[in-house]
Amino acid sequence: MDLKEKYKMKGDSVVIPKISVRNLTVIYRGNHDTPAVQDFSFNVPAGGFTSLLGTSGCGKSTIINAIAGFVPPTKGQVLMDGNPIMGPGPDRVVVFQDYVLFPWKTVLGNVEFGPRMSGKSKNDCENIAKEYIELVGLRGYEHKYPGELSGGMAQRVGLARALASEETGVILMDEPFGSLDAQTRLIMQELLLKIWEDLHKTIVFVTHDVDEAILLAEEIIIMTASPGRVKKVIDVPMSRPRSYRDIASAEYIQIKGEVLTLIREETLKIMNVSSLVKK
Amino acid sequence: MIPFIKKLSSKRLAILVPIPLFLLLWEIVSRVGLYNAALFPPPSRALLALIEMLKEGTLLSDAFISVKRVSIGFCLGSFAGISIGTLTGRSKFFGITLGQLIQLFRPIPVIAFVSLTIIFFGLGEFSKYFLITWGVFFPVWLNTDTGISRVESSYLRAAQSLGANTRRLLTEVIIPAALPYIAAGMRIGIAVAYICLIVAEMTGASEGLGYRIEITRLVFRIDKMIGILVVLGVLGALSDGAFVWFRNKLLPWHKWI
Ligand SMILES: Nc1ncnc2c1ncn2[C@@H]1O[C@H](COP(=O)(O)OP(=O)(O)O)[C@@H](O)[C@H]1O
Ligand SMILES: [Mg+2]
Repeated sequence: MDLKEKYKMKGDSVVIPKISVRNLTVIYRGNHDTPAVQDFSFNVPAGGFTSLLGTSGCGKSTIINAIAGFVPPTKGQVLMDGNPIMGPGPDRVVVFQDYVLFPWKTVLGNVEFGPRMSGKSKNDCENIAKEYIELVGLRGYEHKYPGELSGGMAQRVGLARALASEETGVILMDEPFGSLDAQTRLIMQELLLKIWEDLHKTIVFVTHDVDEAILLAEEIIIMTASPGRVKKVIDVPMSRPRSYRDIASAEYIQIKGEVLTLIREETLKIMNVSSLVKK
Repeated sequence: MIPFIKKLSSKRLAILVPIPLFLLLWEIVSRVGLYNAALFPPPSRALLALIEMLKEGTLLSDAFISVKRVSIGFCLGSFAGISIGTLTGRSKFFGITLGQLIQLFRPIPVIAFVSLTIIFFGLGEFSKYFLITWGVFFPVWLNTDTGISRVESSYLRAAQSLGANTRRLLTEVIIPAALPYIAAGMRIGIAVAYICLIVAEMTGASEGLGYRIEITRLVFRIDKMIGILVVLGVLGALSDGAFVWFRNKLLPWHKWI
């Protein structure tokens, strides 16, 4: 709330970030000494694409879960359009690393889940679902069950299911391509880029893959290893539309060098600790 | 003849051979006369006894009444097990309060309740339905409770983030996710239903397959008794097969959960 006032007082036109994480600290029960995330702040503008990059266990999922409303902040605030997030809701849809498709529903049943929950007519639900199934290239698979799909296909269903929840302005993606093979992942990244450029959704994208973060995001937030804090925010000013070919550009290589150095520092911290423990 | 034999793969042989072979061995052992043939009749005699009971008209009417009792008891027990299991699996309060009450009754064998049932409800049909319902209830309840309370939280999160409210969460996610568990409980319930049926019919009935077993014992017609055992085996196998068939039709995805 006071964020709104702050912007007004500055006399600027009121630009409220779509997502605003402010001094977020999350401490899990039974883990009082080490917060999973500490004093974490960042903003994502409407239509923005922000990547959270950090080593495993640094608190990336915790931040996504706090924005999704699955996990309450221990301290600090998570705001959407300037209002505190009180719990999960269809204005922020999550795409999970392990897809979490409903195995008892067909591809169609999964994708039309969001529209059905919002009370649309049966016909509308089906039409919307088919549109997004087509968008992710799965026409003809409507009546298959998730158990019959490959990982890449399943995650395309996960993406279609999130997009079909059309009131959603925000898509939260928690290492969505982490369990896919390298080739499939590349195609999925391109598909996501195209969808983001066409549909103007706000995306928070968690990954531990440096290339993925640079290729996709406008802004990369590099996290410290446990507890998760903001280590550095890096702008990715590469032009749009992007494609996998940009990996060879001078700009890309320069950014990658910088990111790798920062990530390496954090990884070394963890490795040092574990080698000390061994002694 | 020879092409026919060639077509018989080893798998088909494995399916076709055991039962005829078993019957043949039984026939031989029985006819050799190692044991009193009246106490250990060959399968051919049991078959003749079945035909005899068919002609008398008792076989069909006994089988009919028994199947009716099993069906009604199974349906009532399943319904109660699923409803109460959903309640105890979903609500912490009922899970603890009702849950421990049910756990108290669950280990008591159904047979132990027969006398009390007869005292309370008499010798009529209700007592039979009650015992079968009682027996079926526990495995269905236990599996439903387990299935409902163990639904992966990631499914709940996914559904909530897509806008599901509490009611839709139950009907669209929790119950479907628990269905394979519930089906497994019901399958156990079928076997239990037959056990309870025979228990109920052997201890205070005037018709039904269990009653007929008692009668054949009293008149010393072991061939008839074995014939009825065979009928019970076939009925049980058919019920189970039909249930599995329906489950596979209705829950084609059950193997992926
Ligand atoms: N539900 C939980 N209860 C207790 N500790 C948790 C829970 N979830 C995560 N953690 C801990 O919090 C830290 C951050 O976890 P997480 O957010 O999953 O990291 P990441 O997604 O970056 O791998 C880890 O040390 C993890 O063990
Ligand atoms: Mg994670």
